[in-house]
Amino acid sequence: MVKSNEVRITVNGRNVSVARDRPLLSSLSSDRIPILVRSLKYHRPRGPFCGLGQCAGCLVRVNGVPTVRSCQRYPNEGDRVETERGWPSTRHDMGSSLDAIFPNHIDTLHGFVKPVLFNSLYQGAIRRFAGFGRLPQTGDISYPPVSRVERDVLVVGDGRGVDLAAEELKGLIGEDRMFLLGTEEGPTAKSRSSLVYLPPPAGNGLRALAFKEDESTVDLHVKAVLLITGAYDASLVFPGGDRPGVMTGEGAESLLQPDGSAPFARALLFGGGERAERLLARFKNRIAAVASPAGISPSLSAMASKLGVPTYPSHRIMEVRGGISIREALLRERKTQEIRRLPADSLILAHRRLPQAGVLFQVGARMTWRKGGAAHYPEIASDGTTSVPGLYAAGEVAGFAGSADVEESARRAAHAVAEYLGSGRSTPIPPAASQSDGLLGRRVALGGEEMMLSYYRELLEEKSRSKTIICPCEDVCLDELKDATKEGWGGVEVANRMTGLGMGLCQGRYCLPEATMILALLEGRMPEEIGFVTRRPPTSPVPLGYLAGGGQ
Amino acid sequence: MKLSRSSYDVAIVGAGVIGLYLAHHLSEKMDPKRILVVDDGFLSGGASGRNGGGVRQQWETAITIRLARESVSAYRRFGKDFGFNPWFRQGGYLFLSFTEDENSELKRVGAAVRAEGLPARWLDKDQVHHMVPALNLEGLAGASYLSTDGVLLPFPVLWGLAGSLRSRGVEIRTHTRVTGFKKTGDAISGIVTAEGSASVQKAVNAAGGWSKEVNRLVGLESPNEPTLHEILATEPLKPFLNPMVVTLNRGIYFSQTMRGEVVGGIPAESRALFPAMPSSIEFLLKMSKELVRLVPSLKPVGILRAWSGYYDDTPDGLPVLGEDPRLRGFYQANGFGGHGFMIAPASTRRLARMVLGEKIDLDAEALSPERFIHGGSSPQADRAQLG
Repeated sequence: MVKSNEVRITVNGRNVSVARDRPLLSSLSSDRIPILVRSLKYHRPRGPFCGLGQCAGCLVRVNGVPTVRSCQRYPNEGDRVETERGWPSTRHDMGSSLDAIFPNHIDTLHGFVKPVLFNSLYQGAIRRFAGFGRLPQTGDISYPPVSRVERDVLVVGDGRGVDLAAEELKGLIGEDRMFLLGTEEGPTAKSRSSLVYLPPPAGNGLRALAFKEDESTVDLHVKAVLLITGAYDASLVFPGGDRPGVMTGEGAESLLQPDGSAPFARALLFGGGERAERLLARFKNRIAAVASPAGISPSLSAMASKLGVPTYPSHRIMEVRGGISIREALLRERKTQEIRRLPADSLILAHRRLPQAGVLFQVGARMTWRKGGAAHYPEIASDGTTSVPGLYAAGEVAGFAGSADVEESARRAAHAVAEYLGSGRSTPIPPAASQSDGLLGRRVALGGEEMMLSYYRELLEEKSRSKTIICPCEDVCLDELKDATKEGWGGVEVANRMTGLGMGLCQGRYCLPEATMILALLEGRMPEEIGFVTRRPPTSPVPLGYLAGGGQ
Repeated sequence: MKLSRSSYDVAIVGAGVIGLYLAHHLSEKMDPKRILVVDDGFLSGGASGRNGGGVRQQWETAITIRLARESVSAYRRFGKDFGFNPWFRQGGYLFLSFTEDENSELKRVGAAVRAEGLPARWLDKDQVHHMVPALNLEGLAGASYLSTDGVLLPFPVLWGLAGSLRSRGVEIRTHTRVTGFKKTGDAISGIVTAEGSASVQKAVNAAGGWSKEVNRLVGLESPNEPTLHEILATEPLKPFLNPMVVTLNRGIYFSQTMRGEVVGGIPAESRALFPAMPSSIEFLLKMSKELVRLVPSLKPVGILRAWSGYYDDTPDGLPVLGEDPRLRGFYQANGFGGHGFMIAPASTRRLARMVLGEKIDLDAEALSPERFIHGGSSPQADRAQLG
């Protein structure tokens, strides 16, 4: 019996009915955290991590198409869903014996060089482990053609800031002069549209490439772009940090079921601020404990004590232990060094937010390392003007925190955009404009540079018995980063090319911010001296078919 | 940090594959401590860290084929010699032909390659299909294939060379800009960098896309032009593609890396101004269209990232190698036109001999800087420019 809001699909050949109006991953997570993928090198089990379609933690093959992010995919009647990595199954994979045989990393940088005659043997063996999925069997899929659209303003982002800016712009210049890119609620499912690429301006105005799912690929020509792309929960490096069950706040939210349940019952929530508070309010008694690398805010403390959830301020995650799922977390009190063992089945990271700033890097906006946020933020004036003519930014991506400031910045930027369109004049900000942390007077919350550096200094001092994965997409270990540093060429650009760090599916969104600080410690420099890796287009992986102009 | 010495015998501008391999060959015959390599960027920041890793021996001119063949055997041994594994995978190069003109061009290349003793083969449609079943062979006339061509990961070559050179005492300075040279009469006598100056007996311009700028620092004009080329990588897939595939008609090339990504490029109109290295929307659209035309089943596969870098092009498509007749002690090692990696080990071996005043074992006149100074371009231009 199939309900009207359900569709029938197969998962590894098994018939199941799933909800039509929520992502596949959510339906696959009703009773336990699903293991859908094995890692690229060591076949380590991986679970959903980011919930935003960026990481490699929820990839499945759907109707013969590999590397589909199940957290973003809404199911259709008859979909064939398969897991691809692992033999005999993804959950029980013989390939993971590789992980056990090589407790330290496999050195593909220096190893497998002798004897020369064995080159092709080594290559054949290593190639067997490459790739997340098989090439589709057929190219018999049609994609919509690319259409050219001219508008005055492109607004990119999700959330309250975007709604406000769009509303404001509607009043100022009219709805038909705007193009909105973000997530829209449709009759049955959400429709995603996303920015593919915003190149540096060449000539008049800005040009962007975007695609609207199931609709069209759009070659946009605009005069101005307003980015309100928000922020995301950061990752954290520790032994066992790549185990299924370790996830960001957004990752945990993506597993939430419509009835309010979730596939975990004893989560450790890591974070002490506003974000952790929102997650505690959401997951309530599914949270077994709250720990924070620094303090815990009074309101979070109050909420925790009301729910009877213990709180551990100033703790570091030493290790997360378990097998295919988490059994316990080891915490260390950062001053007394006391070790605390907490039984837990998952770990939710909510200790700091990072700006979703990839597009700003792409378009060539001048970026500054901000100590308060311990991340690169665009240089902007208080009305959202950036260093690129016609480009404006607002909200968390521009360094504003707290809903009042986010909203105020969105409103101001909308007015600045309208003024620019009216006058045709843009006054990009001069170099080294004042960049105090929190432009409207607020700090960018917890997770400042000083705290993160001291935190990672402690991690580096700790002896680890096994691999500490720093880049889960490419299975890069902390030891490899240390080895790369010893070569002595310095900087994140070299570390990236030497280890593969940040070259994976998430393009370094999760590993590079952490690696920047770890490299700073290893090289004895400040994080801003480590540099950054350009976020290359596309903004996130986009099927070739969407850009190929459709047809067939 | 200032330069550690006030004088060097040889200063090399550019720490790419050409500059580093040259330093390597020199260091085997002279005191390594007398060699300086200077680069404005980070190691692998230029074209040597931005290319698709293709190494082929299918060329039209005998000299290039010889240099490429010797380079292939150097890359085969590279991991053993330098301790870094470039994963040089000899899956062959497959040049696809769709017209009679392309047939005759590729068959000419094939004949030249076989004349040098390499087993280039002509494949018909069925044989191509058997080699890469995923290819759309509509309109295919045939293909030229050489099984010992291959693809490598460029970065370890740089780490290996630079590490070995440094441990032997060669001074390698990255993030250090060269701001000028000193001349005494008609000879080079010094180098000026952002970290101080030093007297030198010889200097080499191995600056790739920046070679024109470096030449201007010493008052020389060269016909080289930096041209931006773009490239992309897809999400990693299980191995399905052994050879590097190249088509003459559209200029697309692509192969599959050890990680499983399909990496390839196609010439596209870019409005970028040197030295900016953006990607263009034109490239993304054009490359996607052509790639899925040739491999339709790649349609739903995601583009992971795109990037770009500069070829250092010369009018006749051949590199410039040798002492510049206008300035004694100043050597050109540039103009490789996107093929520097393919012939770096062998061509820099010859240049090292020239720098040291030794005789070389092949007629390098076709590559001499002189050809652009005394009018006209070389009659031996190699038309096999792609991939």
